[in-house]
Amino acid sequence: MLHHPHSRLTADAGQRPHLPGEAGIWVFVLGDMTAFALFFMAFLSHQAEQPAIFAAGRQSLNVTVGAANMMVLLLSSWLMALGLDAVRMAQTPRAVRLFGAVIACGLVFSVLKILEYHEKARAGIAVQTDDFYTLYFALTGVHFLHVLIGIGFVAAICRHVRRHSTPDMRLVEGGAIYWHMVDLLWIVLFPLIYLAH
Amino acid sequence: MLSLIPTPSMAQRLTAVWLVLMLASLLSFGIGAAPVAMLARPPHLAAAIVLAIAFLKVHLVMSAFMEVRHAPLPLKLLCAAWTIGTGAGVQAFLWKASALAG
Repeated sequence: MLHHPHSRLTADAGQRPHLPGEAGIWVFVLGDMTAFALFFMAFLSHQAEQPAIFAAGRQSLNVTVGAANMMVLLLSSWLMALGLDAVRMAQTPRAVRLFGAVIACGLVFSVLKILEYHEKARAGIAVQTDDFYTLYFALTGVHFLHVLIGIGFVAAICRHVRRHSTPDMRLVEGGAIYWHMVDLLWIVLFPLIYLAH
Repeated sequence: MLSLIPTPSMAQRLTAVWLVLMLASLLSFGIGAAPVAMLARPPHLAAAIVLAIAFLKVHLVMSAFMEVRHAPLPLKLLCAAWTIGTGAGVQAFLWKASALAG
């Protein structure tokens, strides 16, 4: 038995448009993304004014950890999408395993992030060191908070799916949309802060 | 004859998207980290390319993973507006910064 079979979208032709999640989650997600977009512009604006400080700050960043976190989040998004598909196929044990794997990815990201911040602290770098570091900590810190909240959401939808034989698809889709947003933000943040000279 | 070609399953499609995202990321790391990037003229060209790739990845995540591809038109337009607007804004700041420095 499929949950919302028309939302499974196995064939593209002639599909009725389907709003994933619900309007409320999209208002939140697009609003959050717009706030981050303004943050990106602020970062680039400051970089244009203080190119030397930004170049020096960027040199001190651990690009390997940032890149590893990029791959971890991309992996997690793939697993999340597979998990959502499993819920629609009423494959509950598989969905639960996949959501568990997403949470594991979130935890790996968190450990790497903490290690990265710790490395900075040991080097005597703090949020007020200069404008580059203020923006670095602000942007990556707010994003990290989103990751932690996302882990909470994924855990909640995992629990929901285990308890309900007919899960609320809007809830599950909503959780997935939020998690993909977290990935999407790092897709821009990582090159913006770590790679772009 | 065409009916003999199996349509990819949802899982296969999602996996293909993920592989493309990974490859795009590796390409970006290569461009961003390559010493030759420092020699590029204009100097911010590597950054501009890397960030352009980033917004293509964003579009892919929205379209395939967030399922915006199958969403009603208003949502598709809003998402496209964010991607194009933010992507263009980022490029504009990069090129403006380079103009100021150069």
